[in-house]
Amino acid sequence: MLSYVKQFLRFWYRFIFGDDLIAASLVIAGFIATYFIARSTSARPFWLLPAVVLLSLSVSLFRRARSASKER
Amino acid sequence: MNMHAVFLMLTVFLAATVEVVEMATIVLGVGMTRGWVSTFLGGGVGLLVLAGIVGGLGPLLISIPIAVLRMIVGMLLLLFGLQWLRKSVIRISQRGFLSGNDEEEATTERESGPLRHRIDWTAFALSFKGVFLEGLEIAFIVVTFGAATDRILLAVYAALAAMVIVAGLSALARRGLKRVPGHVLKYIVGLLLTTYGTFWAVEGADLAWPGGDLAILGLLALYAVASLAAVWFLHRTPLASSPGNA
Repeated sequence: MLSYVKQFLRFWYRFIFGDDLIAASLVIAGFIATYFIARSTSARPFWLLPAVVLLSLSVSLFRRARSASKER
Repeated sequence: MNMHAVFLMLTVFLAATVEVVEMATIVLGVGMTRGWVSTFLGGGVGLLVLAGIVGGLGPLLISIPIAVLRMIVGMLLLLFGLQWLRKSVIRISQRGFLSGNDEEEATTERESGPLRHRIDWTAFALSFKGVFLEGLEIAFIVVTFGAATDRILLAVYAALAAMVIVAGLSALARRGLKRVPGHVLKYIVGLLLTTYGTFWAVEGADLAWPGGDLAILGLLALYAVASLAAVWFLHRTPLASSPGNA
């Protein structure tokens, strides 16, 4: 039973975070910010999440390129 | 059939077509990249759950908090799609768009091998979410327009027509997509999942997109340009190792 729970949790961890915890956390933080700005102010920050997605993609690829150049 | 009925059917047909195209894109993309058995299984279970909810609630369906569902499904698709997008950007920067026959292409074939009896839960979950959320939106459209005009059966027929036509077109599109290399297909699916995920997550936060559903095309163009720029950048800065599979 415990192993099924572990497998289930591992599946969802991989599904959500994959191999880049920072990239996924950035997107989640971007969504939370979008949600609370939309709820608590009159602003319409629909652009915020796409901007954070692009930032997350750039950061993730940049970190990977940097670690690869260090290996060489 | 009077003018009101024609107008109702046309409206429901067009609105449902938009949703069915979104559903079909996800199912087609996931099926082509992860295999069909688990994708159809996920979609089938999604339809069954949907049928249970629609049958059980009937017109009360519109009381379901669709914004919360959009938010959860949107964020999950976005987070998963972004992983595929990132990994396929790296692969394309290493191999280019045209090289084929890599190990990923085998994923589309793997269900013909000994793995066919195992369920790919990732494909199952993606397909389930896409079919369930979009199916629920179609049911909302049918109930809203059908109940408002007291012609619910006509609205159901219009939605069914949209589903049949888009399913037929998807089957045709699948033949053409078979020639696309696996890593490029994964890039396209990652791009689409990231786009739909962003769109739904923002809608789930109770924000309206400028231009409504047309914003999907804007998001797709934005992510395509950014990811192609990343491919170009990484091609000039070669990476040491390949990323793992999602």
